[in-house]
Amino acid sequence: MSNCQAYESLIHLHLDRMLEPSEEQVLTEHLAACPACREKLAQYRRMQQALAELKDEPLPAGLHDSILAYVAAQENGKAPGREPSKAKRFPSWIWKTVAGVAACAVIAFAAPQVLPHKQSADTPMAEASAGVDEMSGAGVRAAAPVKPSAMPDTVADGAMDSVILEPANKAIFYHTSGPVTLYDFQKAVAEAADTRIGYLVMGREQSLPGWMDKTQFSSFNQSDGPSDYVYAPASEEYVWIAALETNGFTLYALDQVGEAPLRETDEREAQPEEKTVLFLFQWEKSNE
Amino acid sequence: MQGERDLLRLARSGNQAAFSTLVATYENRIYGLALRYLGSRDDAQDATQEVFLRVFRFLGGFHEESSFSTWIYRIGVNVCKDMLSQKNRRAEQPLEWKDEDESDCEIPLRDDRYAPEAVFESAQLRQSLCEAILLLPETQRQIILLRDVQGLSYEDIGVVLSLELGTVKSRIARARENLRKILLQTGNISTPVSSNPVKGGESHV
Repeated sequence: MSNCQAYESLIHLHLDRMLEPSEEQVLTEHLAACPACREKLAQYRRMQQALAELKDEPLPAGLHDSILAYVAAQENGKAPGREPSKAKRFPSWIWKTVAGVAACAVIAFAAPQVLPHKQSADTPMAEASAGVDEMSGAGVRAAAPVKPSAMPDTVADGAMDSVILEPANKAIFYHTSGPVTLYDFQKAVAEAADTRIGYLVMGREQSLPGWMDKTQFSSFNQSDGPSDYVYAPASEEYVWIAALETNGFTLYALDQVGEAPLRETDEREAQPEEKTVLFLFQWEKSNE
Repeated sequence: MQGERDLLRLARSGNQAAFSTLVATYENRIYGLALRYLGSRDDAQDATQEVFLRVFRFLGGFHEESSFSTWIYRIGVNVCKDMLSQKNRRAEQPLEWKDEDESDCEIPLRDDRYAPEAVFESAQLRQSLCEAILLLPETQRQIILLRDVQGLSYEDIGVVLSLELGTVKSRIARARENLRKILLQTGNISTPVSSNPVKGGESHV
C-alpha cells in the first residue's frame, strides 16, 4: 500500500483545482484504494466550505464612517497618496521640524568623523568587530552581523553610543536609550542627510537579538508594496525610515513617505520601561 | 479593472467620494481578515482603520504593478501582524482570550464532548474554526485566511506574502493539516473511518 503522506499535497491541490489531469488521475486511483484518504479529503472539503462561509462577516455598524473619520483625523485634510518624488532629497517637513526646535536631549550624535558638529565629549564609542561580507541587497540586511554584543552593555538615559562597523560596510551605528520621539527621529534623518547616511533604522533594544532575521527585513527587499516594507533597489541611494513599532520597526523609504511626518504626534513614544534604540547605518555606495 | 483604476486615480487626486467608495469596496474583506486574524472585534476595527490610513498615505506609491486587491491585502496582513505582536507583547502570552462575550471565538476546547461518531455540524464547526484558526502558527493562519476564507488564488497569495509558489503550496497544505488536527482533537470534525486504522497516521485520534 502506498504511503498516504505522499498524497497529502495532491489532496490540497485537488481541493483548489490546481492539479494537472495526470496528477488528478494518480490521486483518484489512490483515493479509490484508500478509505482513510477519502475520509480525509471529505474532512478537508467540509473544513474548506466552513472556512469560506467565514468570509461573509457583517461589518460593524458605523465602521465605514469611523474609517473615514480616522483617516481624516490622522491626515488632517491632506490629499491622499502623494506621488512619491523621485528626487533624492529630504522632504521639507524634516527641515522645518529640525530648524524650529531646540537641541534634542535624547539623541546626541557621537561619530566625530561623520558628524563632527554633534560630538559629545563623554560619549563612548566602540569598535564593532562584526564584519559584513554580504553587501548585496539592502543596507539593513548588510548590517545583519551587528549583534547585541557589539552594543555597550548599559547606556544611561539620554546618552548616545555609536559603533563604527569596520571596515566593509562603513555603517555607523547609533545607539540611544529612552524614548525616541518623532522629533528625534526627524532630527536623525536630517543628520543622515547631512552626512549622506544611506539607511536609517530605528527599533527597540529587545528586538535586536535576531532582529535582522525578521521577515520585515528579509522580505522588504523584494516587496513592491507601500506597506511596511518598501522596495529599494540596492543600486540606489535611498534613505530608509523606520517607524518605531512596539515590536521592531516599520520601514519606509523617504521618497515614499513624501511630505508626511511619520507620526502626527509623539504618541509612539516608547514605554518608559522599554529601551529604545536608534540605529543609523551609513551605506556608502561603491563608485566603481 | 477599469472602473477601479479610475476610482484609484480619483482617490489619488483627492476626491473624497472616490476614497470612500474604495473603502466601501474593501472594508468587508479587510475587516473579515482582521477579525479572524486577531480574534477580537475591537482589534479588527482598529486594524481596519489603520489599513485604510496606510492606503490613504501610500496610494501615490501604488503603481498598479500588482492588483489593488493584493496590495491592500498585503497591508492588511502587515497591520494585523503588527497588532498581534503588540498585543502579545503586552500580554506576554501567545494568545489573549477575552473574557467578555464580544468574540464568537472564545468557547473553551470541548474535549469532553468528543465522540468519534460526531456528526459534522455547521454552526459548531464555524465556531470551532474561528478558535482553531487562532491556534495556528501565524504564517499558517495568514495563508488559511487568504486562501480558504478570502479565496485568493495561489498566485495572489504569493504576491501578498512575498512567497514563491512552491512555498504557498506547501504552507497551505501544512496549515490545513494542522487546522484539521485541531478540529479532530476538539471533536469538531469526524474522524477518519477506522477500517484501516494504521495507514493514515491518524490512528492516535
